Amino acid sequence: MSTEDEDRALRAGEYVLGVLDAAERARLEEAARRDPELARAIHAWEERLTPLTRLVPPSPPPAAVWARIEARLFSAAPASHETAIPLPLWRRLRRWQVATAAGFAIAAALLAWTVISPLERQAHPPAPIALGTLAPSQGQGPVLAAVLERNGTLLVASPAPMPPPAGRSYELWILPQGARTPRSLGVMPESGRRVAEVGTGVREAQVMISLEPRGGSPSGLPTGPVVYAGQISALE
Amino acid sequence: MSQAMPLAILWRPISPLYGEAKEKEEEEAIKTGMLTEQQSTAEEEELPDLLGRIALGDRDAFRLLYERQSARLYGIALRLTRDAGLAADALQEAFFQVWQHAGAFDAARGRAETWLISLLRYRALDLLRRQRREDPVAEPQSPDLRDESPDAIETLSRQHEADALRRCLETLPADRRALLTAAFLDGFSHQELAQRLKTPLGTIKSWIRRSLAALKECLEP
Repeated sequence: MSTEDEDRALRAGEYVLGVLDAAERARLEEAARRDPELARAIHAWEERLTPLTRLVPPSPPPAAVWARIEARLFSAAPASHETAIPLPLWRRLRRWQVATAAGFAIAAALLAWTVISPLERQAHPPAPIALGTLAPSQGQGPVLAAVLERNGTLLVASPAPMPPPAGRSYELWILPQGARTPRSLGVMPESGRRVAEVGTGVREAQVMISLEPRGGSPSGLPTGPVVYAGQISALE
Repeated sequence: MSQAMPLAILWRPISPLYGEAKEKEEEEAIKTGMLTEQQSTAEEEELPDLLGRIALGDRDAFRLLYERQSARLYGIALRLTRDAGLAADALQEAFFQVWQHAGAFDAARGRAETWLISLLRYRALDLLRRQRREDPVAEPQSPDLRDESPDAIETLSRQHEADALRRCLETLPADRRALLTAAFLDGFSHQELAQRLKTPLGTIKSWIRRSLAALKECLEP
């Protein structure tokens, strides 16, 4: 086993064991999304260590927990997005999907390029340096394309309009690699397309859309569930 | 490097959330691990099936999964977070995820139990780490490390899938074994382990890495 494989296995072990802090956890999850070998190493550690939980005695949860689950998932007028807690994307992909996700992302982004109107293209001559897609965190929904241009402009485009639920707004966020907190890129228009300036230093980043009170998050950080998420990766 | 870990700290029995009575009860539950053993085979067969039905939107299956697994999952979350509120939140969020993502479970890739428990553990760890970041001084409430008693480790052998893990854990020195269980079950980060054991962070990291490497080597065919 190469040193690289060994190191990957140990990083995965630390993650599953739970000794990483929040930032390290997030970084490793992000890395696992792009590295199927790392995702596999994590699964292997999960299989190895999970039997240890047999040492913990069961303890019945308060009855209120089931009531809350039922109310939020199955109440008469469920705002389904309210409850969306995305799995890290790499966990949601089956094996074959992990292998093809990267290719799919680029194809989808290029395809979506064609849905961006000529006018938008004129204002932003295409010079993409990073591409990616935003997938719905749960259930159905369009896949959005994200295109970062050399001049630091990010275009996020849905193939279909995406009106938010009544009284709410979809807000766009970027978390550049190495950053600790996401930065708001403003509220998504109902058209499902937004052009935002992210600066020229960004190459790799997570891009997310959260559900917020109308007009956007009052705190400057996401307050609602992340309903779309994805990663832009440098082309070069 | 054979720097000894301060065993006194590791071995001191602690009662994280429970009083002593509860602690005794826990010991008993561990010793009478036969109960879990009897259930486990049936569970192994039932769980993937339930997840498959949930993926299709079957609420009865979802309800049944909650009835069968919530006490076990809540127990794990409670041990990890040492906070009934956080544990309840973790359980709730884990079940949201189960409802929304049961289709992502792939029986060809692993055991359903692993999938379910991992999901719960990651939710609990996320909540725990977030709380620590927002309120780092709130933490010292939490317990010291404890080693699982030899009896407790022994109960692992009754679980078919746990047998190899138990054997390999037993090849580690007791203090390193305690370090791994303290991390996995009690949710201590590198940093917290270093503070608790009054040991440099780098040393803790290297102990963990070497223990993981030894465990992996032992578990590999």
